[in-house]
Amino acid sequence: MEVIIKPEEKILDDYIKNNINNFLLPLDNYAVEYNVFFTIEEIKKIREQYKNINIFISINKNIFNEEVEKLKEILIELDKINIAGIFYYDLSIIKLKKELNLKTELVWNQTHMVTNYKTCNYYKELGVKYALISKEITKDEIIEIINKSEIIPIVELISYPSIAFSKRKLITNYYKSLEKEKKKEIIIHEKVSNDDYKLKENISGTTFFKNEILNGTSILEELLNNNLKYIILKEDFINHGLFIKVITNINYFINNYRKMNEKDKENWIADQEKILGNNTGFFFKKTIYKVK
Amino acid sequence: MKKIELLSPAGDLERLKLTLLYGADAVYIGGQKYSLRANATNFSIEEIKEGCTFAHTLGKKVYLTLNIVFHNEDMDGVEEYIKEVVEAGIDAFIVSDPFIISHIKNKYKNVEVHLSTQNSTSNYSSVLFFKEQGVNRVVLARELSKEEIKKIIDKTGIDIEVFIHGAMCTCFSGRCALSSYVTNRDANRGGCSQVCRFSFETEEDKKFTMATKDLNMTNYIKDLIEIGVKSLKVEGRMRSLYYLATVIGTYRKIIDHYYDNSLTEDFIKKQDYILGRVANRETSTHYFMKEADYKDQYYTGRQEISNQDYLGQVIEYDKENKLVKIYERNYFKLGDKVELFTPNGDIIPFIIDKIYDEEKNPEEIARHPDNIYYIYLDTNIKIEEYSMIRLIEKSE
Repeated sequence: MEVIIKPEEKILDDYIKNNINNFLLPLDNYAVEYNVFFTIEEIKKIREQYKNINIFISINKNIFNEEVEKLKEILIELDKINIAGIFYYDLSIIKLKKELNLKTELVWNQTHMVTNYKTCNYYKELGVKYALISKEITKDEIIEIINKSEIIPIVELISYPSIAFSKRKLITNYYKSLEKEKKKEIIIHEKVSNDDYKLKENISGTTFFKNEILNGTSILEELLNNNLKYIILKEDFINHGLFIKVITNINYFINNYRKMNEKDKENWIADQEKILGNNTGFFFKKTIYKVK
Repeated sequence: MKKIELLSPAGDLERLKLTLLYGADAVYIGGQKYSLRANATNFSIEEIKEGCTFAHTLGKKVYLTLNIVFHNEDMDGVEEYIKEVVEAGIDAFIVSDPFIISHIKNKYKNVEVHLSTQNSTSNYSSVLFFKEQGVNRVVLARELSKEEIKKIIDKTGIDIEVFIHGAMCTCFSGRCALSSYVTNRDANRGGCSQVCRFSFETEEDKKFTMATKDLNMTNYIKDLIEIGVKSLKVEGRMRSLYYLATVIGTYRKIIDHYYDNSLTEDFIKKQDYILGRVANRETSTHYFMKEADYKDQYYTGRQEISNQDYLGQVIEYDKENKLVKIYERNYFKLGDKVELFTPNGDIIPFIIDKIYDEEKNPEEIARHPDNIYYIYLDTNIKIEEYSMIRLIEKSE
């Protein structure tokens, strides 16, 4: 199993020292649902500086007409610098890859819509190599996708999960209604569920994050036993020191879980809960949709 | 000349019939599975058959929403379900999952596939991608301007459908799991609990809200026709009969007046007023003419207004005794100025000067919803099934 990191730091030495060689870098102005973005110059510099790492780029915003021509230029530029894959949301990227005859692999990343193996296989037939599975399905559903799809699945294991995206500038609009100077991000609290959500606004719109770390370490063994090839850990909003510790711990488990007894594994999971909390998202909780 | 299509929502068979009679050219419905309004009444296979027969007799069409984001387990049985629905006579499926699109296109050559707004398709290149997958029509994202819609039409040549009226999401369709996280209800499978209409606490004095105003494109139907849009879609499978009759009837008139070259500013204003009276929220055109901004939202919690204009649904008209028999829906009394409107587009304004209860006893006030009342009305205009009465002005 390999670990992909979405870093907050622009210098990658710390991660590489901890045996990480796969990185997801969201492209500035063309990605959403992150906290830290990378310009194309920064990406080229990283590519130049770190010759042995795999770089994935996130271009996951909804694309509008006026952006299509510029997007073509960007895709051509990225294709020249040996990128491992592009995480996409907008399906124009599949079309443009074919049109421009690009060799860069694609990662199906329609956030909340990557939820079944048949559609994964459909995209595989269209030439898409990977899929970042949605966070809002159960562990059992994830395992079924891993086992039945021909696409290479990726599971998001640690993050402050992104849960919605709007084109509207919701923070700007809120502070305008208050007649106050706006903030870059705010926390909103829902009384009944007693949950907090972080909102962050940029030029593309407003992202909602759950203000609690998603901790998938309790399903890591099962993912390993089902031969999942990639997990992704997103650093956005997580303390860097803590994140490096998490990387170390996860690498340790991946390399040693076969030798660990059940008690050791339980203790390991408990240790991760102490530092990350016990929010397992939807791994063990099925959503409903019919209430009558 | 083929007119632009007016596409109405229909949450059940009664709404299907009503909206087609009020002038919709097509309706979109949900089956009892796989639709993004899982908690609407929806249609059984038998009802789909009956609805299709009714529509086709009028020369009109029925589209079925099959637009959920499928989980593994949802795929079980879907192919059989699609076969049953095709045999029931459906004209098109509205779909968001590309695997389902390809399945339908490969197996059923005579059925169209329309791409759901759930995909938030927002540029000509992604529209072309779906055109290559065999999609016949694309329902565009609602975050697009007039120029953007026109460019997509000009560059792709595919039929384009846009929303013209009704509730708007705060986030991109398909790109919102707020309902899952806050209430454990999956919006992408039809269980949306409308979290975007909740209010939230912050460190500020005023609560955070993000509810959007409804969409109302009364003033821009001409523009939409002239840039080449093929279908105008009204939102609201779960809306009331009165709402649907008013909204569909109004847009029908606007479209017909455009093609008759009789669409004037005054006429549009009057239709806008009628739609304003039936709305339960303020409205806006959101992204059509400019970027949506703070004026297109609410900031003080839920804003729905209870509408009491709808006085009754007509059961029948007794021409001999000049009595309209109605089911009462809201309070009315002698002296109230009202309008009776029909699916055929007729409007009969009058003042209520005689009311009788079900036993034909005279009354001054009708105050019991669902009770049957008779109102005196002398008219030669044909009053059809699904005609309704609305309040114009209360008496003193």
